Amino acid sequence: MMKMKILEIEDIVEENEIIKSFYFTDKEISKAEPAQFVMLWVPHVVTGTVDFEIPDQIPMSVSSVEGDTFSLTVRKYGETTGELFKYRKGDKVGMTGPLGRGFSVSGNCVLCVAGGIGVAPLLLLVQKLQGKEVHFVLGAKTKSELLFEKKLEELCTSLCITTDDGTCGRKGFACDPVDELCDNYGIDQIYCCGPEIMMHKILEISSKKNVPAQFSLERYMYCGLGLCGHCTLDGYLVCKDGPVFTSEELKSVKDFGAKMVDETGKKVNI
Amino acid sequence: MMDVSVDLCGLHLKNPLILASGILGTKGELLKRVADNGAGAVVTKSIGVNPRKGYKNPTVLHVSEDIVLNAMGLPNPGCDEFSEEINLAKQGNVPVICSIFGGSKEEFSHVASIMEKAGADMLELNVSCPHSLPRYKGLHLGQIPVETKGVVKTVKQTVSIPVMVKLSPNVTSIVDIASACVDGGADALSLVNTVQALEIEPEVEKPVLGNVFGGQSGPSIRCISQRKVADVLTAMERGEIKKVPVVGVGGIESGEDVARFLLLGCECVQIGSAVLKYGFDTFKKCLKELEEYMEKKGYNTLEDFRGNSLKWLV
Repeated sequence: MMKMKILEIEDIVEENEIIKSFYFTDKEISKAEPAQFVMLWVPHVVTGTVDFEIPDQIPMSVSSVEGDTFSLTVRKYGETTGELFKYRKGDKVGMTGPLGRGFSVSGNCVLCVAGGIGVAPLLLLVQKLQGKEVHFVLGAKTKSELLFEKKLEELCTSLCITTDDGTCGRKGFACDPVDELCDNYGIDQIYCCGPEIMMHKILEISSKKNVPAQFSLERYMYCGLGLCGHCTLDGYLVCKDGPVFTSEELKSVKDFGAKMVDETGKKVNI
Repeated sequence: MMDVSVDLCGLHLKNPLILASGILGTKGELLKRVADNGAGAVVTKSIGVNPRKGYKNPTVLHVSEDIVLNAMGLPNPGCDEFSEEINLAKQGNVPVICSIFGGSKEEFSHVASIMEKAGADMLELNVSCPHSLPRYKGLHLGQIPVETKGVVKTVKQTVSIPVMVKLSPNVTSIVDIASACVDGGADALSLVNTVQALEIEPEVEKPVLGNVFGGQSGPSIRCISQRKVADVLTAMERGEIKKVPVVGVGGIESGEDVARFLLLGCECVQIGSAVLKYGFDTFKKCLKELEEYMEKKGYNTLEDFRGNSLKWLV
């Protein structure tokens, strides 16, 4: 049963200007597989005022685990994350999880491809992949938004950095070097999390090269528990059947890389 | 040879287990998947005239093993956008019942007519969403018999497919409401919708649901539902209300639970919150257990035991 728990923020690390990692302790959530997520409730009690617009709950994947301690790495983006960024050590948030199906570990020479904040679940995956040959492409818009490059350098066999504006590493998107890296290293499994357009490109590459791939997807979620059906993707539930889907599954999903459901349930172009 | 099929207002259902509204019913493909996984019929998410966002999260809360709270806020893409989903859902080859809501008789009849054209086999009128206006604490449509009757009558004049009305348990007399629906021409009744509820988080000292108020479902409301169903069915038995099929809803999660509602005299049942525990396997599980029950009792059809418990109540 997935009951919400109230957890205390034990530590906050500012990763860069727009990204913070929040550390918590919980025996169950710290067992999360990479890309499994929690529904994170930011209850808006810091200021003590009653404001019905702010309280919200969003899906958030676990970015690292050490013993019973785990972290969520959050990009300041909307109202809820904006509110969370005001929180300090000792403040409390609600959490339900771990939820969904995460990455399953397979392959001996793997390539992880991260776009932006998509690196969060892949960092946890890399921790679980120790002992294997792990190559990593880390992409961000610009140098100052690169995340976890030091940790990844230590943990991975090779690290390739891309930035959209060319301020660090190779200029372009994280999907650009994938074709070449697959050939160079004889990659037998690809893991991917980032913007869906990028993941869609990687699905094409993985199909062409016949390398299996796993992708962590995102959709607007209400319940996160597999009940309301809002996060549906061609008959799959992203919250329950996913968020991780295999290349095999996604090949026949027509909305992947094309359409998503908005808050009302209307399909809109990605 | 055991036969669990049932006729509901002229629709043939291979079994009496119907997916309840609000669960997984957002898109045709999901409804088809539920049908492919054993449901006898499916009900869509409630659809209104215009696209509507849901409430702020948390919208669903698993409070305890037996208590589920929700305040979704009727998110839906609007009836025009939803039309094509009916077609997709019908590929599941089970009857597709479209749940509709509206703020007035006119809105109800507009959505009803669009959904009939889209191919819905039946309508379920959601007159009883306990939290359809943000933090609203006043009466809703389904709590006022004369209003409910008016809506049912208007929809019945608009469409020729059968019309079922989903009743709220949050009323002084569910028999009065049931009676108003039947007088308005309802072809069937489903009961009950969720029970008005609220949860407070003690550590942060505030309500958890984004909308504050919500509705309770899950096994904790099954006995409440059984009582309400019994009230309506006994009134029909006594001739106080015209007899129409009654569909039992509320906390059903096993074959024995299904049997309980059929023993009271229900035509069919709807299953919703059990999906939290058993996912898409819910319907196969309940059906298998229902058949085991029938096997044990030596029943071949649902008629063999439907209403057997009602004699204790009339």
